[in-house]
Amino acid sequence: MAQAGLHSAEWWVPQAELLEIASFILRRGFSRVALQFPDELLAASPDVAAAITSACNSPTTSNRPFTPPANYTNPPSQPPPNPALNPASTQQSTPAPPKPPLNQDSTPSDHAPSHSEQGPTQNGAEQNKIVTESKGPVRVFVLADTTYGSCCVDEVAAAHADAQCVVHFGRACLSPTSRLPVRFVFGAAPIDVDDCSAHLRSLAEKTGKPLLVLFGLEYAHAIPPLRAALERSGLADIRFADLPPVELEPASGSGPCEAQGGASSGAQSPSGGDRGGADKASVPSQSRGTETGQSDEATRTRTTGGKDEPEFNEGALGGENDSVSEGDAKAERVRFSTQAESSGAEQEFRSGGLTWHLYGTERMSDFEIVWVGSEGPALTDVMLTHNGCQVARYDPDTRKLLTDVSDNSRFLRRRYYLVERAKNAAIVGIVVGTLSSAGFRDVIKRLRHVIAAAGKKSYTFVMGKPNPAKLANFPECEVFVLVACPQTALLDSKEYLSPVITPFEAELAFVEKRVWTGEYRLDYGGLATGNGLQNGLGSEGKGDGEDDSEEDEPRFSLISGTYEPGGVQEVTPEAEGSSALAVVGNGVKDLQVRGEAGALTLAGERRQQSAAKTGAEYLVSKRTYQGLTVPQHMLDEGGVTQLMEKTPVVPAVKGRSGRAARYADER
Amino acid sequence: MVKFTMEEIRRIMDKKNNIRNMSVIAHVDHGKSTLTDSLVAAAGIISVDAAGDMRLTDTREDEQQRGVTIKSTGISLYYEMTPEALKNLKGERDGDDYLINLIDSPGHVDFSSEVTAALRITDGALVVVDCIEGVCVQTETVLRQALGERIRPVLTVNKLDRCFLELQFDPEEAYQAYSRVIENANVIMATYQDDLLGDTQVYPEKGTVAFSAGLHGWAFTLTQFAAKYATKFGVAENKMMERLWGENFFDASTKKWTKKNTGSPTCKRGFVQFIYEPIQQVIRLCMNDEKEKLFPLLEKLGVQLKGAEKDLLTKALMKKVMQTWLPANEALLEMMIYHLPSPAKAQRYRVENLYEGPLDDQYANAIRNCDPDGPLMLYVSKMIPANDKGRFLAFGRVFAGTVRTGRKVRIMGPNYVPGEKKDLFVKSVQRTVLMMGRKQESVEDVPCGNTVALVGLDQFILKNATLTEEKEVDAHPIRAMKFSVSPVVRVAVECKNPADLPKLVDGLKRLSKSDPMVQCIIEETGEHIVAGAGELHLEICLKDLQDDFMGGAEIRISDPVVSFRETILEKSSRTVMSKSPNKHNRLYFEARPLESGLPEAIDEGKVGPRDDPKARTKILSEDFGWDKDVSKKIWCFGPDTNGPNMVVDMCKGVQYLNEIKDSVVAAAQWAMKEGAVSEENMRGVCFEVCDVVLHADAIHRGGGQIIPTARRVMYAAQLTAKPRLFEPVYLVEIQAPEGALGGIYSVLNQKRGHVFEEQQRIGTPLYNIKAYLPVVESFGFTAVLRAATSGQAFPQMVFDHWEMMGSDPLESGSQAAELVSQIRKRKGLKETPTPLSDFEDKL
Repeated sequence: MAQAGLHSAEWWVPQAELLEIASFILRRGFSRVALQFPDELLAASPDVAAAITSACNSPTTSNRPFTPPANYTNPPSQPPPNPALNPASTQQSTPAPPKPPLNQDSTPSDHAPSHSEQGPTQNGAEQNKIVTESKGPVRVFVLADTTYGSCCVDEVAAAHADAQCVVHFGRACLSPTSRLPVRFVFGAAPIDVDDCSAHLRSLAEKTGKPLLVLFGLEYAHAIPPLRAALERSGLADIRFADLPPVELEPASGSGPCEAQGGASSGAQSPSGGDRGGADKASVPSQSRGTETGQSDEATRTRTTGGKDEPEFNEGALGGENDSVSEGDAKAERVRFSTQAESSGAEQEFRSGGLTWHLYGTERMSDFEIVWVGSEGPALTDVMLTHNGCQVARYDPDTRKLLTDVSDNSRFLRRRYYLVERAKNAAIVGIVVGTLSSAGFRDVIKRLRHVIAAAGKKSYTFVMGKPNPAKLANFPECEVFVLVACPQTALLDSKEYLSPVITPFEAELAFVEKRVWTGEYRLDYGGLATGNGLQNGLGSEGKGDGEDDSEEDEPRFSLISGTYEPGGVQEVTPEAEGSSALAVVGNGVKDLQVRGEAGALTLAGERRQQSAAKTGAEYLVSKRTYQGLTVPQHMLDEGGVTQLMEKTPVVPAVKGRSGRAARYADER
Repeated sequence: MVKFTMEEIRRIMDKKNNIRNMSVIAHVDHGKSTLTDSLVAAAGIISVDAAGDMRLTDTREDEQQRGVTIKSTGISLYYEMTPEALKNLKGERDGDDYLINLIDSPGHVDFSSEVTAALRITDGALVVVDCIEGVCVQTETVLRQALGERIRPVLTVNKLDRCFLELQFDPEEAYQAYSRVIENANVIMATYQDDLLGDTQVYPEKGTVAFSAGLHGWAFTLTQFAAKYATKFGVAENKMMERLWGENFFDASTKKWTKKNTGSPTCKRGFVQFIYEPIQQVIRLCMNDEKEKLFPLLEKLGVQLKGAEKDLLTKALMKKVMQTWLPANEALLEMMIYHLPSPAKAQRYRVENLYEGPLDDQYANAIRNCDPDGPLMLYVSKMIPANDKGRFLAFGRVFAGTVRTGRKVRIMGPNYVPGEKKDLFVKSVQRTVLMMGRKQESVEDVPCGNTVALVGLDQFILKNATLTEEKEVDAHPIRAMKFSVSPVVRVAVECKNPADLPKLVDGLKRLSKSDPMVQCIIEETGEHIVAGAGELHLEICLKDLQDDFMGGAEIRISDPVVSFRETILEKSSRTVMSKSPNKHNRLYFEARPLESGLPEAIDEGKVGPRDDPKARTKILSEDFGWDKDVSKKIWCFGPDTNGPNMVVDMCKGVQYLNEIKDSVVAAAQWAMKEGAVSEENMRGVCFEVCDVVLHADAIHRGGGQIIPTARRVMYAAQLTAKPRLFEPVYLVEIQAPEGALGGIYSVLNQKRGHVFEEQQRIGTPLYNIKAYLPVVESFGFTAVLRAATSGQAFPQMVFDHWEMMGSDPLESGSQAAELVSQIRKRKGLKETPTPLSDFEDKL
């Protein structure tokens, strides 16, 4: 699909959104902006960077033709209305650098009228004003080749450019960041709303279950029209996830739970949630109490830009009626939710930026999940987390509805196997797979704690994007725990020498009292939400105290089909010392014996015997090659001479030359 | 009703010369449990009348229902012998009372592991053979096992009643049948002769063979008859014994013994004349209710019936008469006490089979001398479900020392290595109990030489273990048992409700405990696999799992899954090369099939990683034609470091080669575990490292570069060497009358089986058929076979070997390719194997 402006095969950014971005930058008064692109969109980066630079720095370019695609079938076939630049908010925010979120959130709420009313008529004058008010030219940096998953915001790279904010393009996991505010650009992939709604309708009839519509972020733009279409057709038993936020403030607290849950866990009135739900993620301190119609308005106001898109889409569908009916529906849901809230039973779920709510006694398993979008980690995340649900997927590209896409049980079984493997491991590698996702430090800290408590040794690796070759350099690690955002956390372990598991799985494997219940999480929530660092371990400690007699009861391992030592094996300093001595002893003996008997025997035997407890022990007991000959200082005078005598003196020879692909001496 | 008290039993336990630990072993349906009943009845635990029907040692409901023993069950029996009966006993004895610790074992081949567990803790074995069916495959298997454990056998020819009633054998015919049975058994015993054990063959004339009718509760040995006739003929008993068997004929008219049949009508074989015919006569009289003739005869024989018993008719009368005349327990007990060794005697030669440690340390000595005051050495050979649901008793034998209630013991599991802490626990014994069939009786302590069950150790013992006292830190464990069957039939189980997973895991743990053979593991795919020796075994295990161990949670069971092996047909067509991810290292490999017989030798442990390199070189060069230099350059065996595949270094003068050895070995274990074709284990593949080009900087040739590359190059080598699949094959033995042969053949044909031996049993209308049958085809085979032969044929199947499938698994459409795609589908892989081009690189 050829589109004007910025596009890739299935992805494009309307000009309006670029202007939005510019406005965001100007509004917040950023002068150094990092643009983060995933590899597949990198080709478009010069254009985007140029467009943004000019939009920010020159008033005239803001109207430069970033024409929406001509052949695009859906809403934006009309020239998009100029995005809403809320004058009130810009005036407020431009002079001041980023404010505490609470302020930001509440202030604009005073100027609340819905921007949809004013949006289309914005003109250049306003923007000029903005530009003149911002200090100095805005500099734009393109970040590419992200160190970890490109869905995560690369704060470290951004820090290298000393950027004040990151504009993230493409697939995103919306993991909270720890330092920088982020503006997400999901793009708008083409979708046939009518076709999709028809499919959903027929699915709803078929299953008889209420539907929960979740979607790939690149289809967020199509959700309001889709909802409108479905409501028009009278399909009532359907629920949509809230639209993802496009702006994200760094998590203020360090605790992962704050970052994840605390901010947003509060009761969110559903109508607000529609457009600004995840905003709450950026407002950690917001309390339940502020949850009013007002704040609802406020969120709407703040989440301009991307949020406006739906608005003009609606317009494109050409119905005041539609929006009215939508409003009605919303009102109804507000009422409903109030009831639910009064009964105190609202549950919030979130996955990769999407947020949705259940009320009263509803459970996830009551719903059939419909995923609008392509396959990918985001869908996997949803399917695994809600593995009790049926999942159908509408593929906008092929315009087909695929029911029963989940092969969860197989996948979960496999993950369960990995957890079992991990239980047998004596040495665990913690692989840092993100440096930006807020809370990763706490997760690592907790993992170390948990692993140590389980009597195992852990090593922490920071090695960029993990791959089989990198991890295979540490064969002493029998299992790796990858600390990463939910969408990069799952590594297909088949190619890896040792399994790679997620922190949640590590928790299952190493915390004795945790059992596999079928519940599954990819985020850090399973680790720390609610139960914090101390909590989980505290209870474990207590458990130990209670049944003292069973502490060393062996654990039945399904991997070997036999008993493995269980419980906490305390390594007293004394024991450690002696075992270290034993290792040295063994090592010496091995060296001697190997000389006579050949390495194979002993290598095999030792492998049989027992697992090494530390990397050093592994080196001395399990590797046959331990470097070059014995260091001289370890040998006495006679030893050296003996060594010298044994080692024949050979003249130096010329080595290989040429390139590694084919050395000069080859063929 | 019980004729003895626990105090009596406990007292006799100290008399190590008056104990006999024995197991009853036989082919399925030859009458072990029934015969055991007679012994139990004599001890007063059940009534004599019920003997033969009760099957006391079949403790489980399904055993009773199916009429087949599933678990081996121990029972301790106390007998007071008359001094008269013991007068000829040589060897030491201590009073006239005896304790027999008897273990009844299952005969079905699927439960062979139970037999193994029983044999380990006994010293003697009563081998039961059906006089009509003769020595069958399982008879041979258990005999071989018994002799391997240095268990002394005695034989009983069982089901004599069939000769008299059902088949109406001519006396000479019967003699021939019996002597064939004995001969066949002796052939087997001679094959597995053991010098220390001495002559293990059995001879009726020496009293090591009994003749019995378990169902009717009577049995005799030649001794009994010899004693009676010796006085009459005025010859010594042992002389008389000899005359009652073999080529000894007596002419009633001339009253002369001859070595040949003189042809005179009054000249009859001693056995026929003095044993078979009198019995025949008594039985005939009983069955025909000719009491007027019977009672005088009985008087002559010294058989006294009590009042009411005289009113019995036909079969009941016959049973009573025979039980009174030739009580089974007397004959069998006498045989056991005379000819089976006491623990004191047996442990002297068994110690080297049992003890892993040095044979001159205090533990070995204590075992050798059966010293109740020595250090405790106790072997737990199996776990028995306790009445207390979910708990288990540890059943075993005290080889040295005394085990006491409340005493702390050191538990050495199967993976314990002396000097290490792995698989080692110190726990106290809550209670020591004796197994009494369906009941258990507590005792304060149990000295060596006895079987015992321990309460309170089940959390620490999975299947078996060696126990010793807490302070005995330098004791070595008792050698692990070697099973004759392997778990080849597997199913995947899952719980209907995913939340029950913890229950399933717990259930599998219990199941794993309850059976010495069953394997419960989790596969790479995350499926929970239960593996058993055969269909019946698996069926029983799964039933136990569902009914007893799951706590009510329901499970779903997959179709049986058979594991295959990947192998290669010939040497790689060319040397293949793979480059490391950084392109700086190149590995050149070839694969070749291991010499035939070598994989088996590795399986059996004749060749392995722990061998002395010199010995290994010798075997490889002499038996398998290896070059001596090459055999010194074996890098590893795999998978699991001891499997039937190898990596051999064939390089010449390569720099840094030993640096990458560990990485290659790690990769080999991995590749051999999951072959390139279907991710099944490899078998019989030898990888040769032909050449290696490595980067000069160590940092660029680390494990990360080498391990994935070595794995790829091994796959490439495998794929260029005509990969093939091995499928497991059963040896099937079927015994059936001629009329059923047609049905058997057609079923076998249909199931890809082939018959390689068909033999008529001499003197019977029965045929013995031996065939090979792929394990894949064996599911439901028994049922189909029975249907096709109207229930006349009953197969015994035991894993025999791996057989290469002829077709190419990579050629689409072939049988092997279909199989591969099935396997891959089950494992959730792409249906077609990864092509060679993904593994091999071009320069």
